[in-house]
Amino acid sequence: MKIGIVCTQGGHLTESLLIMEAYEGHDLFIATHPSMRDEDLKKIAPSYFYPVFTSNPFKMLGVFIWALRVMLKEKPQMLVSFGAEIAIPYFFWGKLFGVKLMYIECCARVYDISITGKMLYPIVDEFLVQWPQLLKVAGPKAKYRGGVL
Amino acid sequence: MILVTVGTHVQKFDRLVKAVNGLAEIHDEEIVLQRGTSEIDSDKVEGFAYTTGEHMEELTKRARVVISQASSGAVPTAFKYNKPVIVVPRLKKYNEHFNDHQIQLAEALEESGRVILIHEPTPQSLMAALNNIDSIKILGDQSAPLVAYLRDYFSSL
Repeated sequence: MKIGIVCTQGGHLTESLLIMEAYEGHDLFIATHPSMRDEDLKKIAPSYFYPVFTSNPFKMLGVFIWALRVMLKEKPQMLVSFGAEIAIPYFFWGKLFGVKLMYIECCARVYDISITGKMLYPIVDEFLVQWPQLLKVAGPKAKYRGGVL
Repeated sequence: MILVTVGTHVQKFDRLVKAVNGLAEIHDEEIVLQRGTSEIDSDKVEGFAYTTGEHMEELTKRARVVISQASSGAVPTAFKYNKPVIVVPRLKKYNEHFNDHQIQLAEALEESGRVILIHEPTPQSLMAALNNIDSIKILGDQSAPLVAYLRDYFSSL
C-alpha cells in the first residue's frame, strides 16, 4: 500500500518519524514544509516541500494545486497526519479520491483539539488522540490507542 | 553536556535563551543551545539557530540532560534516549507562541513525574532543576501500543 505522511516540519514531523516502524512493508511519501531536515527525509521516502503558508487566499490556492499534483503523482491509498494546516489540502483531495484518512492529534494536545483537528474530524476515517483525557472533548469517532510519548 | 532546544517555531524564545546563557555563568558544564530565531549569544554556550534531524538525535544521545520547550518534537526524542527532561512552555503573553497549548503537555508530563516543569526560567531555577534531576521518572519510549495499532490498521486495508 502507498501511504502519504503529511505534516508541518517541526514537532509534528518528529512525531511522525518516531513511529516509522508502523509503516514497515508499505511504500511512503512525505509532504511537509522545507527545513534543515529535508535531506534526512529524502533518505526515507520521496519528499515534497511547500513553503510555510498563511491564510492568504491566493497562497492557499497554490497549496491546493501543489497538493493535487503530488496526489496525482503518488496515488496513495492512505494519508496519515499528526498536523497541522498542511494536512487540509491533502485530506480534501484524499476525501475526493476515496483515500483512507487518519488524523492523529499531536501529543502536545492534552485537553483540547487543534483547529486543524476540528476541521478534519468530520471527513477522516480514523481520528486518534494521544491522551485519554481528550476523548471527552474530541467526539464519538475519536480513539485513544496510546501515543508517541 | 546539557542540550537546550527551543525547536523550529518562528517566534523567539528569549526567556529560555537568556536563562541558559545565565546558567552557563554559574554552572560548569558544556551547554549546547539550539536557539531558533532568538539572537542572543554567549561565549560560554555553543549556540546555533537550527540543525538537521540527525544532528539533533546525535546531540540528544550525547546529552546528560535535555532542557526544552514543551513541544511534540524534542520531548519524545529525549524520552526515546532515556534522557531526563526539563521543560519550559512557550507562553502567548511573552509573544513566544500563538496560544498556550504548551502548558498542557508540560503539566500532563509533570503530573506523571516524567519531566521537571519550569514556568519562569532563570539561571537559578534551571540550576535548582538540575540539582533535582534524579527525581525524574525515566520510562523511555512508550510508543509500542500506538505502533502496533497502526500496523494492524494498515495491514487490514
